[in-house]
Amino acid sequence: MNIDKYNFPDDLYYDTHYQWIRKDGEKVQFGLTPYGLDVTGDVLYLALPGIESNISAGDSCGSLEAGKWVGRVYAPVSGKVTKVNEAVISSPGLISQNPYACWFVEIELARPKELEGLMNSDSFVALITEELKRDA
Amino acid sequence: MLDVASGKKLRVLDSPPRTAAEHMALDQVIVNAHSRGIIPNTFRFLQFKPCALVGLHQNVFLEVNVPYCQEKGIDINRRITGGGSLYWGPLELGWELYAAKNTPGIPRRVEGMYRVLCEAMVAGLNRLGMRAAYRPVNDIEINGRKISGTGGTELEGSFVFQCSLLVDFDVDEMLRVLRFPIEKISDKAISSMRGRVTSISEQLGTAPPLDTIKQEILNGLAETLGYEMVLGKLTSQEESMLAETLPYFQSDDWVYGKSCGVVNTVDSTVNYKAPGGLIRVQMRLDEDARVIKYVVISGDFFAYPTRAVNDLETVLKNTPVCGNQISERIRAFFATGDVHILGVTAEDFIAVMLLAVERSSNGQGSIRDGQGGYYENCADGL
Repeated sequence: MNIDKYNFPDDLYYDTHYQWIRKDGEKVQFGLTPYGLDVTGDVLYLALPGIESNISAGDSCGSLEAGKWVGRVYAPVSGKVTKVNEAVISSPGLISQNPYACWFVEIELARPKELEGLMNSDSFVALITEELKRDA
Repeated sequence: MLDVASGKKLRVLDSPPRTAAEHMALDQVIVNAHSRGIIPNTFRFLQFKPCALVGLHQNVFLEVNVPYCQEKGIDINRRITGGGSLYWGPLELGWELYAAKNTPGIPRRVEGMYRVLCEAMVAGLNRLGMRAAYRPVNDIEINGRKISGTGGTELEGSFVFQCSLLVDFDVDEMLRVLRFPIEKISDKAISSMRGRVTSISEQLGTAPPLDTIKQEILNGLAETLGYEMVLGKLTSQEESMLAETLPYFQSDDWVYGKSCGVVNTVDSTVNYKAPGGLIRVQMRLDEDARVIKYVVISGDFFAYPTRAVNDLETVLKNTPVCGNQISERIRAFFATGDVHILGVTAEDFIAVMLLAVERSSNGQGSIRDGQGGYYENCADGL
């Protein structure tokens, strides 16, 4: 689904921290949406949780620095981290080039039902639309 | 608790100077408390006992002259926000705004937030009789010289925006406290640094009483944003949280970054001989050469307007180390047609910046002329 200059694929979930979430079997990967990138600014440094760490839905699990702003990375679901994208940690500038290819970590779902609490592209677009109106 | 349903009332906190650790701990406490919805939107003034503060991911030993600070009793601490190191003298003043991300009048995009809140600060400074202006992305300047810097972070539905103001700044002491990518602390180095920053006392001849400055900052914010400022104090819950949190912010783990992962930096100095004169670039990059932290440009060329060099430094700050991006930013800067440097082109600046990046891994300077030849022992251009 497209809005303004942004594209939000229909096969992804989204959260209120402007992150996209892709489900693959019992695991998910997540990253920052193009809108989230615009809100924060180009990411210069990215810190992510380590492999095997357990993270809880909604909790801060990492940070990203954009100039003098430090933003957070939030766990969209609970579970164990099974993979970390070292490439994006080494080169956070890749996020600007292709946000949907730059997943941060892979999580083994502890509570699959948590996915029901995330937004689909329609709901996410509604949220963004309201924000864009407010900031206009 | 204040009624903040309208989002237009701000609790104002003020206190005598605190230690760096107390202020850093309070930053964490207040943003946590705000994100939990147990305190109202809050505005806080900060005065420090003299200290050096590094950004969240900086290496203290690369940024701060630790032995000097220890000898002089100058606190060292780490901010919860990003950006570079700074020296905070006894008369400098800071303020912070803690609010909900959906606060009316404050854009959700960080860049927009910086603009709105910096312009509110500009209104306050100009009420004191100065001619300050917002310099994107996050600075406030007077005639090209920085007087105020900003930064921030967020937690869940809350954000904190921070602003520092040079009231009666001691450049010489800053050069002793912080470590810069300059070869020696010479008169020229001090003069060069002095040309990049200014203070209220320099602008007005003398600094007004701090209470006057604080009141005008509040007036500027109220006027620009429509807030009602209500003097308040920390809640007992915040006081308890501070007592619990403070030891961590006093610990070496926090101050020296053992618990948050620091990014090391490397410096390089390059002298480049262009037809219009010598260009000296002193650059600091992160260790993996991913980002230009900042550059100091000097030399014996003539730039019009004189602020052009400071503006170019600002443009290059936080630029990813990528030849195309560096080149694009420099070309765009010169393409405005507002900058004139006799005998020096955008291509000269691109060449010297790329050379500085290349040399950053060993920290050695080099001298190169506009035709591609290298020279040694060029005159000190700083």
